[in-house]
Amino acid sequence: MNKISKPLSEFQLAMKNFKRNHPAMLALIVLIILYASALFADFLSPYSYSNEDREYSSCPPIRIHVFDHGRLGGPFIYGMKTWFDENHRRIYEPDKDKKYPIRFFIKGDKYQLFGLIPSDVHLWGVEEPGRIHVWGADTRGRDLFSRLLYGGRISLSIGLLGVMIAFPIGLLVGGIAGYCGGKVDDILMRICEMMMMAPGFYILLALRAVVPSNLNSIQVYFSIIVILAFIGWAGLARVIRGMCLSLKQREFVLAAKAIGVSDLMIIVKHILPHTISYSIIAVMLSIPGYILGESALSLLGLGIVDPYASWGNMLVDAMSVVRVKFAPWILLPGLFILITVICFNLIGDALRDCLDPLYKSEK
Amino acid sequence: MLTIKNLTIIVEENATTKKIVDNVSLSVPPETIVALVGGSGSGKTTTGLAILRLLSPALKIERGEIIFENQDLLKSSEEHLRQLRGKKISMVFQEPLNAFNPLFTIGYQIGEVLIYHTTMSLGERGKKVLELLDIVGIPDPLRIVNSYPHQLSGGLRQRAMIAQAIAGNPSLIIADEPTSNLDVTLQSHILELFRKLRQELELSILLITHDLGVVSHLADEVTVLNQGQVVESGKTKSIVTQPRHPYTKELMETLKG
Repeated sequence: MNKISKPLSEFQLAMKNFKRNHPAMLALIVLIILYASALFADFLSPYSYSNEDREYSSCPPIRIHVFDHGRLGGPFIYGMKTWFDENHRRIYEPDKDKKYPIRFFIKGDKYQLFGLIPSDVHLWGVEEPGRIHVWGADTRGRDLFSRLLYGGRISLSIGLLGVMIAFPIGLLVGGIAGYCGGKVDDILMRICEMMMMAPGFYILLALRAVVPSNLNSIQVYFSIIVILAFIGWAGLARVIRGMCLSLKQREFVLAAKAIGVSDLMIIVKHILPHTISYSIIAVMLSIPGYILGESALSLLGLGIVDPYASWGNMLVDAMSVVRVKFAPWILLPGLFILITVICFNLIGDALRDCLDPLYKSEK
Repeated sequence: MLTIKNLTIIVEENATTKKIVDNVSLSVPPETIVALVGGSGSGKTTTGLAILRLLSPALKIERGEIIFENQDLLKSSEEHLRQLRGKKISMVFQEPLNAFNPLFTIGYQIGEVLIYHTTMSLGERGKKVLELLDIVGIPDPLRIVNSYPHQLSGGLRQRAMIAQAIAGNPSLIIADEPTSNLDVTLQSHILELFRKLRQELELSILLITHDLGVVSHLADEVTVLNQGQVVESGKTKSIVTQPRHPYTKELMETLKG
């Protein structure tokens, strides 16, 4: 019997260290939950993103009750009584006469799961005419919980897609600049510096101004991704270029040339893989920038527009202090942005600890 | 097969030029082992790299001709050179630990030659790599193909390096100090392998070394370099037994001592 266990690979070692980092593991779990709930938003949310009922404008969060007059019953909610006070503000109060039990797998708004499977079954909800707003409703009476899930689709995916565009560009430009050196390096790096020199947000606005405004929501979505990626690649390219400058001196690069590998393939196959641990960290730490960029654009009305939901444009409601004072729950999208950004940063930091041998945190 | 004529390589430093290789001529006939001998800094490695046009940009070829298969390599296009490297002329490096990319398995890196120079499928490449490992005398090739360079011993690594060099079926191998980092027994094994390969694959070998002991075992012809200049060349036997130039004598003395 061979009792000696196989030594762990570098990747397995890194994963072992990562698992020991509890905040990062928690962050990973939170992110998985967020992404999963965005993916299944149609099914998990009781309403669609555009389902509105003006009678429930700025409705506060509705409590779910489990005990009915001291006895255990199925979960239910009370209907809402509403009237206007002397300042013409809507006041809501639970109406103890109207009880709406929460139903599971209830029929509601039609949707297509993953854009493919038509369905109208929602995980939970209440029968009409009752409405359930567990996290409150916005000024137009749309369910905030549902819109948060739908908004997550845009806000969370924009980071990943942006990175997917920006990183190959950054890696390739940095790789070519570092490998070729000389004039090519000079020109590419000056371009990078131009990108990095101007304040990012103003480039963002300028680029958005260049893109035509009469686009449909999908075109807007992709134009935002392209714009964000356009700003994002330069920083990575500079670091990768520096790493390539030293990597190209290694003898295996010469050896690869000596067996007839083309320059581009040497960069892609022999040099860039050596920058992988830095790249993974940089990816993780740059995703929040994309999420915040989208939020900022949408907040200013230049990104995703009503009725489509993104965490950024949901915060438009919260730009008025008065509304925030009387309906603080409309700040929830901000909380979600905060959580997501913190999670990505925690994971990025943890990856740096376990992937980068030169950056060991003091223990 | 390979003829170098009046090759001069210079390096420019602060407006002064220094000749690294000075008017070197040598030729490698088919199926012969020619040794290029010299101390460190004599320009022997530079000459070897110049044949494949792999010199670092700081070094400039001032004049000369490197003729391989009736073509002057110094006038060839980059694309033609790329076709040549690994397929017609390949190189064995001194320290295979540095010459192999640490991120890829030995098997992949030997097969990489086949990716660029043949139209073999993945399966055919795998088979061919195992064959190559067998030719260079590596025991248990199935285990070695999936190993990473750092997992192998120095001797196995050098054999794998040689397997990579012969993968494209070249007619000339430039071996740059292939045995300097190995102990004496391994050295003789590797030299034996070179001799065997020359016969079986009808190879020419340009052996770059400082070790006249290696040369007298293996080479048919010798060219001795000192400070970039050819000081002596001829058949191995005559040079080893009757060195005429003082520098060659000096080299022979160190061998005896």
